[in-house]
Amino acid sequence: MEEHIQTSRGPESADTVVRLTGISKFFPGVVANDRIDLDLRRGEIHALLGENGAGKTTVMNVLYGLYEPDAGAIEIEGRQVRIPSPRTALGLGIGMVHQHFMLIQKFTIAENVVLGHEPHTRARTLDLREARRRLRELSDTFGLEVDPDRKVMEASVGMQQRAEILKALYAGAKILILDEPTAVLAPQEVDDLFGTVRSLTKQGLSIFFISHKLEEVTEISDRVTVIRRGRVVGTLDTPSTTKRELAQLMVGRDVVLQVEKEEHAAGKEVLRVEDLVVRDQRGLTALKGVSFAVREGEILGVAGVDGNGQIELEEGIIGLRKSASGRILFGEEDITSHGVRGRIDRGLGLVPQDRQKRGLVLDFDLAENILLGNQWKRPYARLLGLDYDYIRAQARSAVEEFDVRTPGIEVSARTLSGGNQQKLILAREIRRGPRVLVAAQPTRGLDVGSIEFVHSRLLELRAKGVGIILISYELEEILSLADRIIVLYEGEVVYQVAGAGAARETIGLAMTGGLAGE
Amino acid sequence: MDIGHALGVVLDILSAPSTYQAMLRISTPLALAAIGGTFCERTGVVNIALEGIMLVGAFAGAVFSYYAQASWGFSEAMAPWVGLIGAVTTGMLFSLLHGLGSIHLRADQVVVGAALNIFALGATGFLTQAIFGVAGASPRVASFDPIAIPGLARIPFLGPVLFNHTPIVYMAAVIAVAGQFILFRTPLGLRLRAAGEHPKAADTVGVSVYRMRYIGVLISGALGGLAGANLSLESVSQFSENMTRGRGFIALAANIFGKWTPLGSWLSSLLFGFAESLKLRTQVIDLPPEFILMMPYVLTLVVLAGAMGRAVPPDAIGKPYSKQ
Amino acid sequence: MPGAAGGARRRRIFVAAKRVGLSLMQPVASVIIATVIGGVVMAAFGFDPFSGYAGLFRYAFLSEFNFTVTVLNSIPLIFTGLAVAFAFRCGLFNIGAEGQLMVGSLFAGWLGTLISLPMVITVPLLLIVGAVTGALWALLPGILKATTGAHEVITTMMMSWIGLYLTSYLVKNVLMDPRTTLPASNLISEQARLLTLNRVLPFLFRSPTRLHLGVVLAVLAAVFIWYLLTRTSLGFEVRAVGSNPFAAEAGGVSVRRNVIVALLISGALAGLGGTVEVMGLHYRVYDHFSAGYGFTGITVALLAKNHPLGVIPAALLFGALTNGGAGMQLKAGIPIDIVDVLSGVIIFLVAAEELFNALKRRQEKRSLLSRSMGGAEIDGRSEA
Repeated sequence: MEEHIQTSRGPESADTVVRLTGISKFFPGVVANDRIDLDLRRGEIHALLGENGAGKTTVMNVLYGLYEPDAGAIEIEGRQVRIPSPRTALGLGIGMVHQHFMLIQKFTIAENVVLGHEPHTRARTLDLREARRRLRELSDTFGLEVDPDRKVMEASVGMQQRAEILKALYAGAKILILDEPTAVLAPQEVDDLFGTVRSLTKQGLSIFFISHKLEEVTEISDRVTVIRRGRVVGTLDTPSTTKRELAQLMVGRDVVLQVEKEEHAAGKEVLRVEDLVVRDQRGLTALKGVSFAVREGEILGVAGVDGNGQIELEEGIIGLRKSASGRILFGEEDITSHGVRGRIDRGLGLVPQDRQKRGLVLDFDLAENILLGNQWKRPYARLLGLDYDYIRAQARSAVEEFDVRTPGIEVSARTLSGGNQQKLILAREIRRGPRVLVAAQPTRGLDVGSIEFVHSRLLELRAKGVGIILISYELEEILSLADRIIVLYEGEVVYQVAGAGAARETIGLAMTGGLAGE
Repeated sequence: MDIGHALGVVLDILSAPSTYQAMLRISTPLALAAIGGTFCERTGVVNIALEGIMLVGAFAGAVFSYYAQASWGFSEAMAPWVGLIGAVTTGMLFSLLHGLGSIHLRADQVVVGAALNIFALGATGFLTQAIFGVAGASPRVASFDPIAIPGLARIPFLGPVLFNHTPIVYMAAVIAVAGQFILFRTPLGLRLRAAGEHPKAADTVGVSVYRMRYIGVLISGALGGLAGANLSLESVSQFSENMTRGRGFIALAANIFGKWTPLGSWLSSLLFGFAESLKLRTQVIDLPPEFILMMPYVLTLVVLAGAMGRAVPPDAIGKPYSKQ
Repeated sequence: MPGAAGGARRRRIFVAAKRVGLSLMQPVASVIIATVIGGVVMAAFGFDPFSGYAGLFRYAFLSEFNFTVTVLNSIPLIFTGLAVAFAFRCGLFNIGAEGQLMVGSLFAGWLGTLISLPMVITVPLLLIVGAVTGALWALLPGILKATTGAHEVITTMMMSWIGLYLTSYLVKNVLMDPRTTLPASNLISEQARLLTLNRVLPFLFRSPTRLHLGVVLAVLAAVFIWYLLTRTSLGFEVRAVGSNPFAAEAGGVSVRRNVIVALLISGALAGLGGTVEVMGLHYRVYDHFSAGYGFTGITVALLAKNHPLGVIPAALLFGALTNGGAGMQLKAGIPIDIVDVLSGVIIFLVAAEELFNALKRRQEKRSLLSRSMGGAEIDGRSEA
């Protein structure tokens, strides 16, 4: 079950600038990093590949001083160090470009770059002329073109990223961590970024490059370390590996949960999405004209790596996010202009990906969480107010039916474990009797028992003729449950296949953009 | 009503130096407190406690001035300066409570501000009676006289308007310009603003968010205290209970109306002060004083409603910062 | 298991009692600490805190007259406390209750001077006018919050000052009773007045009292708001928005609509508070008759932890402090301002106390968050 490929650890070399040994990081109840060994050689680009949640960012946050590790040692240039804060990391020559930029929107790029290390005149005033000069010097050296006087909020995403890199360089970084740097870039910008990254290594910088996209990892890196579920499953020299091998390592084969799935014919179409375009919070088009349909008694699996439009799909269907264009048809009816309440009334249900933010009011007790989304409906609501006897009875039977482990229904949802919180949401959404259920990441972070429970409930619904849209980042989950599969990549459906005939490798490639170019 | 006559009256008022002199005088405490508020809020700490800080400053100014003359042997001319220093120091100490609550304890900044306002009202009232034995007001204390700047004060019109004021009026102008400079032209200003816009970004480049926020809070304490001293150590020459009468809230409005800049705060205060100076003459121009008094608030609402270009507060204002 | 149902009921009662007990602990502790601090301050300035507090207690509670004054003081505070608490439950800080109170009472009082219909019509009509105009004074902040996101702390405060000056102008220039020297309106008609309690319940009082039916209205309002919040879908939605707007939205709740509705109800309560004062106590609108009721309402709500029924004892406490403070001044010579010092310390402590809760909650949340989501890259994602 555990495969550990180690093809490239050479003898102790003077050229190792970073060495992480046995780094473990625990969050309550979760092992985010489990004895991670990692090293970075001078002048190399070392990719960290893994699914979202695998622990790549955590280990880099440890290196950058944002987290303190629970075990393990860090060596920089052969010297053992402790890194309690980003300030220390900066002092050691480590810079990090976060996936979500740490830039101040209202400041100019020059101001952002010099913040914390401001040049000043003899009169102690901010010497922006000097700042601009040094910035220009850096951008010329590394091919990082920016307009120093442009405000960040008026700069393109690409320029913002270059500003972030310049910020690290300005602070004297020799070791650079790039966290999913291409996630926000257009293809042309990606090419530019790669050019920059290569020129940085030529100047002697060493780079950790976090990614979940095979394509770019094989293109840019010298070595790849694959991380799965908090562990290193292999470190390979990039030229001597293949995308298929990497995809296998990354997705793994050890989560094969056996699901008994009865064969039955799907019914008529219940939900149809046509050319749906949805923007994300920043106003960028995250879903770029997606079309699909779900039939009664069918599980439609939506595969894909996190951040490829899944949240927008989930929220677009349930009505939390307005669609920029396109239509959503529920049966014959166009529900594109309806709000959440109208869609719930027609029989849409949602098991949200972010269950603590979207799914539950954590400070409410279990009964009121069961009430949420029913509060305007009879018999929950009567003329003179809510019928709490009925609500409590419903909650009790929901807790019983869905095996929510709790001392009672009057405790707050906050006190439940993750698995039981999810069961509570499922209970609410399923007992409402939906005709279509959107289940986003329904088993993420749950223990095996809860996962099986959730899966069997979804299959029960399927048998009852409910149309289910299963959005998941776990390919195994989709393969074992879905009747049909679509793959989302960068906001588009890049591949569709019947569940039975699906080849894991092909889907894995599609998920990581490997099919987009072919 | 004779329109010609009314117009004549209005012109009279608008051309009288005393109108503008009053404007400068009235606007000074507002401007000082508003600039203090600007610094505080720019670092991400909401400050509705300006009213309380001013009140404490006014009280301390009177007390220090009183004792300086009565017990510590200062001359009548020097005593108000001792009062001024006392007011500024006390304002800063008082604002430390704000910092403690809203920075270290990460309590709701608005609630902390509200608590401090009530506390200040009670404490100054209590202490007035406890120290001076009379309820409601202190005895008269030594205060600042207007200083006519030699030469300049004799320029027609401009002389009386600009160059015949108490020292704190001149200070306000200097502080407005210096404040603008510090906030937008120095490394410290950049860091202060960074703490209020994106504290995490500031933290990751080694800028201490807590330190920046304490600096902001302390500046608001110092300037709020000075504003208070301006009330008790000016022509009134005494402290009286609740003598700020909502000026702290007008200052807050001026800070917003000035779009969170020191110069803007000052100019807004001048505008509000101008309006109030008209109030002194409303018997002549038949405009109810209440409508003049509500003007700062109406204008601020107009700005907040987005009618005059959005007033955008610092992004992280009101949000306690913790590192994890 | 024969006792299972009874056991479940007992457990529910136990859990509820524990919750009440826990939530009482912090406010009570804050009051106690503030009392001690107040005592130290008194002693430091040469006053005797024991005789001070004894005087306070005596004047606040010990005699029919004193006690009725305490209750009388607390009536407007119950209303403004409810106003602030209700908005708080929707996650909104209505700092402008003072202005809403003055505006509401002015228009109600104005109408009261004009009409003399039978009492059964006049009294409800005035109450409605007071509530509606108070609500209208909170409408603009509600709309601004829901549309531009302008912070309600600033907008309600600005509206409050505008309201104070507007009512002041109207009292002095439009409603002014020419026979009085104080700026005040004409008297409202007999039919517009709330009866005093000794006329309704003569057997309870030995002597005539100024205590009026407003106290009944205040308690009814508290019960009504409690019912609204905990037993109706409107209250449920308001609380859901206040507790987690994202989940509320996914549960079919309109956040914008509830923000506006919550501020309207909050304003209506404040308006009622002033109206009841005019109809039950003053019988006319004085300029600035509110002794900071709107601001004290913030203290009351915070101390009550925003629970509508908790507002009643909290308002009584501040009613007693104002009343007893006067006694303290009279008997022990301690300045009444010490009451504001106590209030300030109490709010500060309750706010700081909130923080300890929040810390505990956040820690719990973080552990749960990581437990349920795989933990590893939460930080990056939660900012998305």
